Amino acid sequence: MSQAGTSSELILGIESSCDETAAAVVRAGREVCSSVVHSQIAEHAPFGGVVPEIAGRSHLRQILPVVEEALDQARVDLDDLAAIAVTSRPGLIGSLLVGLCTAKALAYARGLPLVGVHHIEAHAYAATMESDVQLPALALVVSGGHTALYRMASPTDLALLSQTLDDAAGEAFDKVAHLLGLGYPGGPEISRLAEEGDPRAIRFPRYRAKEGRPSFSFSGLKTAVLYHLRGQDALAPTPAPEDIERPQDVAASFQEAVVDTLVGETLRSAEREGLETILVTGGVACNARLRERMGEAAAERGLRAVFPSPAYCSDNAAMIAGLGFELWRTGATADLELDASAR
Amino acid sequence: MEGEIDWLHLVSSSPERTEHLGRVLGEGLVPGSVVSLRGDLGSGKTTFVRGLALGLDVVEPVTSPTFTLMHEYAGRLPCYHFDAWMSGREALFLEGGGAEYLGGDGVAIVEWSDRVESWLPRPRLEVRLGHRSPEERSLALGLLGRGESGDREGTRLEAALARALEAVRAELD
Repeated sequence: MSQAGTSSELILGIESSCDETAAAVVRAGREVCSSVVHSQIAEHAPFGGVVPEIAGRSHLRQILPVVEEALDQARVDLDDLAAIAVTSRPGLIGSLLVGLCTAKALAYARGLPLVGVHHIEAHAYAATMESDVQLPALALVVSGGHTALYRMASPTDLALLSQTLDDAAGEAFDKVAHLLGLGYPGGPEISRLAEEGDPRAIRFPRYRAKEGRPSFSFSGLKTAVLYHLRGQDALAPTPAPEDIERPQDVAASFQEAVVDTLVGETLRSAEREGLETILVTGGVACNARLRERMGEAAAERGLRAVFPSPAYCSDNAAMIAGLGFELWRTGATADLELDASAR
Repeated sequence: MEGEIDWLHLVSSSPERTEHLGRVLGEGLVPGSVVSLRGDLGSGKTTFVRGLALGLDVVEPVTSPTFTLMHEYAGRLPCYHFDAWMSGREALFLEGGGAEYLGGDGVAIVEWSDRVESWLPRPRLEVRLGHRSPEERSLALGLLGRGESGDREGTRLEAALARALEAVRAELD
């Protein structure tokens, strides 16, 4: 007998959409019994970004040990589970398939229901797991691959309101980090350097969406940073990182522009949609300056900004098991034909 | 033989103009077309690609594929959008099967193409973008591999690409 008993509300979640192999056991959508994440960052860092081939192979090596560890830590057997939830989209196909095939095999072998989970919807759900959140809410999902606002009517009903027209916010961090000679991933590196810099030293442009066409854009900001480094001479060469004057001010001012853009567009959307709760989630939601500024700006307007703990902002399987529970409860299970999709 | 390329040089005064030029070129693309783009950060590559996609009747928003290495869009032809900014990643991706999208049933568009030059087929169209001022961008469009095709399929593709390029030239008059 396992210590967790024979609860019918235990869900095993499996996530392998990008560069983290993760598994978690969650009870009733909220109580996290275990959450194991194996990060591949070190394997991809030499390339400055995720390499799909390397990611797929690494997932293959890690998936079974990670699932076993999640079950062990939660002290449950497969037979204690109510269902298995797995990320089926969006993500890198070769990565998604590893988690999906594992979930299908386990579900088939043990006769368990299978639930396919949308990765972005799960990120939004993560913000509702640790605190009581009133829905509908506005969800900002901001990471290396996504920057989008959703109207979240229920955990399983998200409507896209706006998204980036070009680069994701996390991608802008990576590219500017590269210009400054910092490592990958760029977000934490820029954030660290920015702590020593003056966010008002350089006035980088803030993208403002046209009326009636809500959106984000970070491409112009990236170009503005490049021009700044070139001394505003479009034809000058880009200086080597060691020749950049006060890179901490560039990092702080750039970060401030990203944060301003995210906060501004999010608050305008909340107002337009008449939503009082703002959920901020995804890898970039770990950014301390974003958490601070979004929290302040929301409070000033009588709104509430909710951030998951950093562990549930970046990719994890607890959010997959959590949303998986909601889907399973409403009968939204999949069959073994469930397919992975990049988008 | 870069010296033999008949480059079409032009200047764009705005992102809207850059997008429009991409659209005109996109309207002439045929199955198997490959368009490579070179140019600095912020020189307008993605803006030009957005135009190419419009010319291919893609209705979805075109965003940067840096993170996922390739985006696929459904237009009047399948449209595969690559980004080789991180050249090591893109080369591994192409090696791992991504190269099958080049010159297949759809249109392949490759940003930062100079970083994966050896993977790219000819004939193909190349667009080179550069900064002239904060607003202005210089563009050079050319057909690479003219007259190199040994088979009928290659010759036909080359002729179609040449026509697509001529449509942009006509746009300037």
